[in-house]
Amino acid sequence: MNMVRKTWLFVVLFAVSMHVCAWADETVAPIAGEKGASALDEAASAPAVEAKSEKRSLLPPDGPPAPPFRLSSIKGGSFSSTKLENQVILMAFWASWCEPCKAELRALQTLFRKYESKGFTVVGINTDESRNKSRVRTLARSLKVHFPMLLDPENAHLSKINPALEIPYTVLIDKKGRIRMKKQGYLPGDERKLEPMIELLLGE
Amino acid sequence: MPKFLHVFWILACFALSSTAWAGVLVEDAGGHPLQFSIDSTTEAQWHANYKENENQPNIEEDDFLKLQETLRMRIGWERWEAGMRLDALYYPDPLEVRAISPAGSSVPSKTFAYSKNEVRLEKIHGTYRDEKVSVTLGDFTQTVGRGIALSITRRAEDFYDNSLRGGRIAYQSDNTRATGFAGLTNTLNTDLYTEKVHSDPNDLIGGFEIAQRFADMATLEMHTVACQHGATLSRSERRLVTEDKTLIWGASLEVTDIAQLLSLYVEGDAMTRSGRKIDLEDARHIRPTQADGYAVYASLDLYYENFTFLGEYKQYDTFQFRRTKSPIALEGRDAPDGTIFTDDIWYHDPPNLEKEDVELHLNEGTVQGFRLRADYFFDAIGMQPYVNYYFAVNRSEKLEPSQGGFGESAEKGFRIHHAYGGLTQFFGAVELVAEGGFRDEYHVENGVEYQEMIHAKLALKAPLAADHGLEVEATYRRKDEQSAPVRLTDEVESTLSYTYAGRYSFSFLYTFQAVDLPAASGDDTQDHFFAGEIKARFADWVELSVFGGQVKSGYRCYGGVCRRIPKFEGVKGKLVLRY
Repeated sequence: MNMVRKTWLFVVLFAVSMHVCAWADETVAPIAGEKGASALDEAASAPAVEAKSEKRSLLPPDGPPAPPFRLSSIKGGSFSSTKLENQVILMAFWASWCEPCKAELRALQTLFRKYESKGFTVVGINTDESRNKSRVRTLARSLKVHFPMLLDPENAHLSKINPALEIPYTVLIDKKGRIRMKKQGYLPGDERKLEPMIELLLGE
Repeated sequence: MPKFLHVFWILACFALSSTAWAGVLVEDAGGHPLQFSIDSTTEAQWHANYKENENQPNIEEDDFLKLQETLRMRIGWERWEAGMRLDALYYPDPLEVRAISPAGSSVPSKTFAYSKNEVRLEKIHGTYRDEKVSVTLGDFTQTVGRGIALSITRRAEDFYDNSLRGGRIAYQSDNTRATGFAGLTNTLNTDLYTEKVHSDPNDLIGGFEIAQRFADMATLEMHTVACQHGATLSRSERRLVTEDKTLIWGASLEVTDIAQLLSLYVEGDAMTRSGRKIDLEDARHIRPTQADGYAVYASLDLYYENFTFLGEYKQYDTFQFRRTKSPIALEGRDAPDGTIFTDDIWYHDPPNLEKEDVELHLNEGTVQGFRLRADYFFDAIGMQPYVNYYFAVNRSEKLEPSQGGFGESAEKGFRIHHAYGGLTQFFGAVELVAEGGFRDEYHVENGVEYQEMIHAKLALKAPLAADHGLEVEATYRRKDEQSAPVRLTDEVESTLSYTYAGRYSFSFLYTFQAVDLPAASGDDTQDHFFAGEIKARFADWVELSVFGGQVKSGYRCYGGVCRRIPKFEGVKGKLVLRY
């Protein structure tokens, strides 16, 4: 084995051992809001979500501040995150070619209708290229969603929240503007797991 | 670069993304949080059959092992933000190319590594942003209007991350928007598909856009974009650049929610380009050229209860804006397997009105066309059918710059009809998508070419028991090409995916491709491609995936840019860490 291969072998072994140590060291608290998937699973399996203490365990107590934004709306004009102060926000990133995203938007419309009057809103952020804007507008209409639908054609806002640009991607933000949950992908039924979290944040 | 710097850099990336750094959130004395986020993607790829798949005799060793690291870091404090992207590539077992000496030559054939170990700072930026004003220095993306005048974007993880490196100042209030910007084009230098490293185009682009909204429903926007191609090249090098300057100016008007029933958009752009016509046989023979072009795009969308309608119209005439095309800028673009960009990187991305998952005509600079689309949602039965018709024609018989001319007459033109439709049906939580269509193309370019295509797709998504999901998708495409070589291609692609709780997924991909050539050639082919992927998301911050098998070569399109991807056979392991 030549020197180059030995060096690389060392790199791989070192890296693997470091990450094994990292996973083993679960006592190190991760940044709040970075355990969204775990929270979702706990939500699904929690037998009595009515119990406030159990509800509280669904989400970390705090999280990093959500990056502010000012994006164009599909209805024209711009929309700033300052309009959403003191609200619980579910931000859903999507694109016209992403089938799971469309299914998720339909499901989120149900949540929006149910909790809208209690200070909850959904914000759909479309990541299609500018050239597809007209198509995006008709698509949003045909999906029959009534929450704000914004445009991020350069992926500028998505990059800040999810640098890998994967969609569907959902972020739950509390009334103080802190990210409390992030979730990648959508499976039918995920919206049911979100409900107890939304209720928890509305009650804070 | 010191010999092992790339190795130590990748090592540093791993260390940086280890638990010691996880979740850095520091608060200053005033309680304002300092945010620090890291996104680290580490891949180990083993490729097999590189030569055999692409029939390239000059590749010495057709297996290679690649390790790559993409590290993105972002730090934010109050209104300030900074970020960067670092790419590192290391080939423990490189792809080797054999330079074969001509017959009779005394110079022996030579073998050299085709791939290159590399560490590169791909992107870096700093931004100040308050409620209405933002100032960015470094790399930024920028789109103007509907992307007709300018579209510099980041679309895909691997090979399409374009930016301008310079400065931008933007003002945006509820009804007014103004942006001024200037920078050098900065594309990804490490081509993660062809294993090549190439230089930036370094075209200098500047522009200004202003928009005002009236009566809460109409937005009038005006813009201008200018480009000096090959701005950093020396005077002698610039002589070999086809383009010299590009100037675009235009305006758009958007009116939304008229009577809660319809929205309109109209945009017009004019372009002036100057350049050089280079005689390839005698490089001293260079003459200046100039061409003027224009683009008009309009759309109307109507909606009434469960019915929506979209009508779009485009008319582009000699309107293309792309990276510098020169022997210098193209350095290293072609891989030994012939994998190249099907055309240059475009600096704009006008509406093409195409169904892009079936067929994408490249960015046509001279074309007229329209698209009509309607769909209706039947609430009672959970069904949403749609129909779509697209028509495009080029009667101008003008050559595009990519064909070596600036609007010069030539025997060229095309006509396309593409009709398709389908439906989405919901059975409770089960979703069924079915669609199909017919496309008919007629081209006049180096003789008459004719092509017909039928396509169909069937997809089913079904949640099984709690947390278990199943997706099946099958597509069929038959293409009958009456141009040389005359051939009939049948293609079936199917995917079966099983997902558990969004955390684990298993996917199986099968592709069958049959190409029938005329009986005389006797080169009919039938190929089967099998591949599988296992992906585990242990937590929201760590994802591990292993992909193994074969993927057929073909075109992939991102953001209006299409390229041919080589056939892949081998194993890819990918670890993604986010903090």
